Amino acid sequence: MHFSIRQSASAVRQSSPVLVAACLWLGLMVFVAVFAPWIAPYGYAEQDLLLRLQPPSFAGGPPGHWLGTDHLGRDVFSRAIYSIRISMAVAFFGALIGAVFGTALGALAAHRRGLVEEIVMGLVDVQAALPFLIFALLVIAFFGNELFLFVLVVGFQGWERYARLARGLVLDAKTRGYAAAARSMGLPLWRVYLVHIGPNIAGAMAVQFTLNLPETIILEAGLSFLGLGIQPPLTSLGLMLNDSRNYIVLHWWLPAVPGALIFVTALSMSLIGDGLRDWFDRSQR
Amino acid sequence: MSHLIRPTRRGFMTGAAALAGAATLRFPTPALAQSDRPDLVIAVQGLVDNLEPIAAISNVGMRVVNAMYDTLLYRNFLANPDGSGAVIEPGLATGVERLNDRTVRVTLRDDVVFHNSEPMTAQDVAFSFGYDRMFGPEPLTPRAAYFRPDLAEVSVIDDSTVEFVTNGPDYAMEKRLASWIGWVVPEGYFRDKGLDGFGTAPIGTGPYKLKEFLRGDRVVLEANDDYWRGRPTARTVTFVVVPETATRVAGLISGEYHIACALNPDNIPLLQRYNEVEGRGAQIENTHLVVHNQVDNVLADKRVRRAMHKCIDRDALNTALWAGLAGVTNGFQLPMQGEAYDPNRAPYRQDIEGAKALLAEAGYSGKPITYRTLNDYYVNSVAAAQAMQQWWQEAGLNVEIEIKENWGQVTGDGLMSRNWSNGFPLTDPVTPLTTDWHEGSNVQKNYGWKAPEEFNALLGKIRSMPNSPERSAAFQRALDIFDDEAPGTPLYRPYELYGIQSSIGWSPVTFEWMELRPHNLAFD
Repeated sequence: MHFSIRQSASAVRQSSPVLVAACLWLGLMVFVAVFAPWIAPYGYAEQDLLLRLQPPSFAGGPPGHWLGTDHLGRDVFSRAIYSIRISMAVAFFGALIGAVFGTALGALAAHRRGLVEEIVMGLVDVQAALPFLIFALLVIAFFGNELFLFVLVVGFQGWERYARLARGLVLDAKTRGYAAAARSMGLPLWRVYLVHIGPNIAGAMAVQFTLNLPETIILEAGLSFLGLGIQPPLTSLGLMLNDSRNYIVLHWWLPAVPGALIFVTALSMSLIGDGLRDWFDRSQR
Repeated sequence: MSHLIRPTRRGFMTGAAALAGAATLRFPTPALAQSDRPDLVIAVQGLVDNLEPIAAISNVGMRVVNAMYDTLLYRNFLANPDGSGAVIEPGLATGVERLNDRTVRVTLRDDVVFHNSEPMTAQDVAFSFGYDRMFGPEPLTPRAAYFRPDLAEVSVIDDSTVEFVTNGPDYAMEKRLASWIGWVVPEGYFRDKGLDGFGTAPIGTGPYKLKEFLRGDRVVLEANDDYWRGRPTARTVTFVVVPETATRVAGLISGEYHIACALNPDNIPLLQRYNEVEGRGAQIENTHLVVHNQVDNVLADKRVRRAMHKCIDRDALNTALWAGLAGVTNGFQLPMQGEAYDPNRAPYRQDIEGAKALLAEAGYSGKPITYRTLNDYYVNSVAAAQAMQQWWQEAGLNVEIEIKENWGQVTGDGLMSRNWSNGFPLTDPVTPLTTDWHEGSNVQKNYGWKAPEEFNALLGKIRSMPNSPERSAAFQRALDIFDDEAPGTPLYRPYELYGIQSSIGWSPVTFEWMELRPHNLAFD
């Protein structure tokens, strides 16, 4: 299996315009997330109490607040920009933690077999059977709500899928000649796993990662909406939705902006994940 | 020196006037008529865990308590059309007589029965305010210590007379007996059950009796058809917990609830869109506050506390968050405190530069100060916290907001600043200063506020003197010290906004409870 830019580019070209749009959207979101402070005209917590609940400027609101203001007179556009940054970061690092942790445990289970495998796979089953929201609520209720802990909790979601997948792939890889060859050449274990087996299972893990991302975006939004996630004055897409509860009927832009961002971003990630899987399946054949 | 309070008909609603006469007649209660009366459903932001009337003192407890119990004397809020009346009228007591500055005698009605059909006796009254329940070393209702008068003795003179004697002079006794400590409970039943047992299955003399109590979920009351003020107008009253403001409003509009409590003024435009519902409200005799726990933290320096206080622009909070409906006070006082209230006292002004200077003087180094709040318990609490945080930040105060799930978490380990509210239930300077900020109060005892000697001495004066220029001066001086020390700081008088089905005849009062007695609840 070879990764090459040319191949990826042609894969994108062959794919549907929807997939292209999804890639462009996600690219835009990543760009916004990275350069948020330069894009946003106002600070995310900057208030103008006398200019609260103003509609977007295209809907008759004051100029300078393209997407209107919220109940504290904060610029919705700026908050949306920062929210994208926070939500994307939480989702990305959360998903990454799950991926690294799950993959490592899965590989460990496949490597050690026996009791270790039993325990790891037992934990996987427990995690899969546990309603995740309840688990998240419990952790946050017991340990309080810190940004770091929150990212960890989000990261915990879906680790069992990586563990299962990694275990299967590593077991498979171990039966392949290249792994046995590398091992018999006396390479240290970490080299066998990181340099030889790792790249061979990376594609599948990447697909899993992309499929997991939209879930973490929605999880962040869900927990923040419930008041268990990002805490004010920091902002996130879920928190913006939470703030808008009281204003849904008469101030449509408050729920519409974060709602649409969550929807389109999660959808894009999902589409890209599907596309990547299809492409990966084809290239496997 | 003595005077007898007589019933004042002035300002009574017409229905109430008729009922006052009818109280002795007793309405016949035909079984069939039961179904004529509607089931009233009230959506509330929260409920208390214990319905013992003093244990339940809180923004969410009093509205239930007021439907289940009666006070000895009755403050007729509705004597003023805006619900702010301060007339003290007969309640469970037909009259009150002041023998001297420490002694008050009440004469009791003889036709009152508790929900369990036992008649209310002088013993029940003496017990309700007595040594065992209220002022002994280990009172059955420990929380009474925060709110009670400084009682020395409560004794039964005869079957219909009870005498109250205080340690020092107490000219506010009549008002106290009409306030949120003035409820009468049945002695035998209370002793049997204890505080928690009673709080779970409470019995009072009020218009509604308990039918069902699911903690944290709902309280269902049913009409007490033997009520001495007349037949209740609703068949049942259900207080159902709906923590989200938006959900309470939606449920009101859909017809699921008849009344939705603790709405946000931002909901008014929405209510105005529908003919079937409307908003009714009143500025209540209460202030929302910021209060500081100063034990082992940077808030022990009063300059830091004062800096926090100086940063707040109360007018901006009122204009923006309350649509101007809340009240911005001039100092920690309200007009209904009477003679001691000084209308010319300077209002609080935002002074960020002054705050910066104080912080520089205190050598404040940017150490984080946490500010805890529940989500929607106090209307606008989170919005106000975020607005204040911006001002604090401007002055260099590093305040972190922590939104908590329940009061245990708010007041638990690590507490620094938090929000709070104080009721002003007595139309007198004694509350809240001498109840919530005195020597034995939580703030002085547990939050580490070392109040100046002078402050506590002034509270003693306020508590024990009749209205006089000297008392007013003591009160104003105490307020100066309060502002200088800033153990806490008032924000505004909240506007208690109810959403209600327009067809229901009911008026809000200027206190954190609802009047659901027959004279203030009518259905078309």
